[in-house]
Amino acid sequence: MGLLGANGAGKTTLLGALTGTVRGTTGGSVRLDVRGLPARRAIGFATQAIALYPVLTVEENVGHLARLLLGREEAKAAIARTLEEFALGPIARTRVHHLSGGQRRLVHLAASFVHAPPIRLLDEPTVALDFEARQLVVRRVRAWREEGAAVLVTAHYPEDIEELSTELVLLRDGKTRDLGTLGAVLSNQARTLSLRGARPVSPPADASWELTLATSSLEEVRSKLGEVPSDVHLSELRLSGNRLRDILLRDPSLSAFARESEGP
Amino acid sequence: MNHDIASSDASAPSGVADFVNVVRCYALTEWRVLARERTAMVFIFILPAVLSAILGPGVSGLDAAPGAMGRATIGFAVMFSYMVVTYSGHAFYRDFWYHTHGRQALIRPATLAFAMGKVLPACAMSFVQLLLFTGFAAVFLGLPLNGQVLQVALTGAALVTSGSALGFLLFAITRSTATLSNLSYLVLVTFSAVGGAIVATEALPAWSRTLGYATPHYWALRALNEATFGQGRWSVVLQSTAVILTFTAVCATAASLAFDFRDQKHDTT
Repeated sequence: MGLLGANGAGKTTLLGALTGTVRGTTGGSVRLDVRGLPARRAIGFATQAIALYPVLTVEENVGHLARLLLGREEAKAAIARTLEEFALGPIARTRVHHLSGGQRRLVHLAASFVHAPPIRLLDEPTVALDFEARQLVVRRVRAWREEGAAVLVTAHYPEDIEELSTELVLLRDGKTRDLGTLGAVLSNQARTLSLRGARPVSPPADASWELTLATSSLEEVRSKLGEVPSDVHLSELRLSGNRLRDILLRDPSLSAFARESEGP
Repeated sequence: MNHDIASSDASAPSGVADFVNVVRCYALTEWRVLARERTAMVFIFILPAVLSAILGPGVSGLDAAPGAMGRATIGFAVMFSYMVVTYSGHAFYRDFWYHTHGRQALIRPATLAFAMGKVLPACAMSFVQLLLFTGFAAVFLGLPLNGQVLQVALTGAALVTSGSALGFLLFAITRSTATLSNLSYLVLVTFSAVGGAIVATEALPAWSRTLGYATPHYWALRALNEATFGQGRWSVVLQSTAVILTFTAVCATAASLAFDFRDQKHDTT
């Protein structure tokens, strides 16, 4: 599940409330049912800030949590598995303060979920990651989902939510709105045609669709495509005497949805 | 806000095993951090050694007494063993420096096990320092040892434990590293001064001696003096350590009541 919301909407606070790591100020309650597991092993939380001891090595950081949560017996196998999953083997003996920001983020994620909890909360997990590391995180999150874990992700960029989540919740003004599946959200979004003319664009008089003013110059316009194919729009515009320069067809995306949802 | 996790702890380790595991995990991590950052080594071992060599028995007012240099060395050892207050407090603040406090709040280990694991390495370093300095003074500086080594060890253990409990309390009631550090240095100097660690109690004004009774330093030095210069009577040593352990229990209880894993603190160093 992806948690969408503007900066300051309360995403991190909500995760803090879910994990019991912050005090509530207005009452309310959170109840998590994780029967069958000790409570401390049921939830993993990768905070937005990287939570590692810099003078310890990667293996020692991961090992600290593994031994704490699993005991010495189980920890050894969990450490080895986690280092492999996050491709951290080559830097296992390196102290964290020698690592790049992206590498630290990966170690942070690895340590947070070394105990393979069934509930995994990730607050902005892709910050500072390069493309390769980001893909690794996307693969891991998808693998966790397939293994049956419940994953809740917040992210700055809707593209990340799109890749990491199957269901969406929008957080705005302190209230959540369940948006359903990603597919449902995208299917409600129209494809958009944006175009720029050599002169002010004028729509055909008998057009069955509507042009939206994008700038005051009228040279740049946007049209939401319904059932009408984009080439019909273009040919009708040309037949009306418009000379078109730049044409951009946008598919439905969470970015566009987020922009519209966040409003002015 | 209520936070209720319905779970079964059937597969969790047993109480004692879990307690020991928590202590061991935090103690190992703290030990690694302290050993690699090295500043604790400097303040607990090197600084008192240097000050003992420079100031020697001059500050103790016992120039003419036999073993005066050894007595001064023990005074500085007792004084700087109380750096355990600072390093115990820092052990807890470390989780705010490195943003790991959120995890502790989520995991919520038993408070006593968590606190013991956190302070154990600094405690052990201070304890070893006291033993080393006493041993050095006995072997090289003419300090008599009329009592038993066990009396020195018991007194040292009680003293550093009281410092750790005080460090935990200062962490629990402060909001920033700077406040904790300032308070712990204040404790280090004032307790040492009125407790007779810098200047011998006999040389202090009466009002200072009265204040000194409230410090673990006074009772630790009383027991150490009994084990070294004195007659090695167990009654004196046990009475002194009992007072120190009462101080420890008060600090630890107050700290446990004030401590909450969800507290937000700041690093203002």
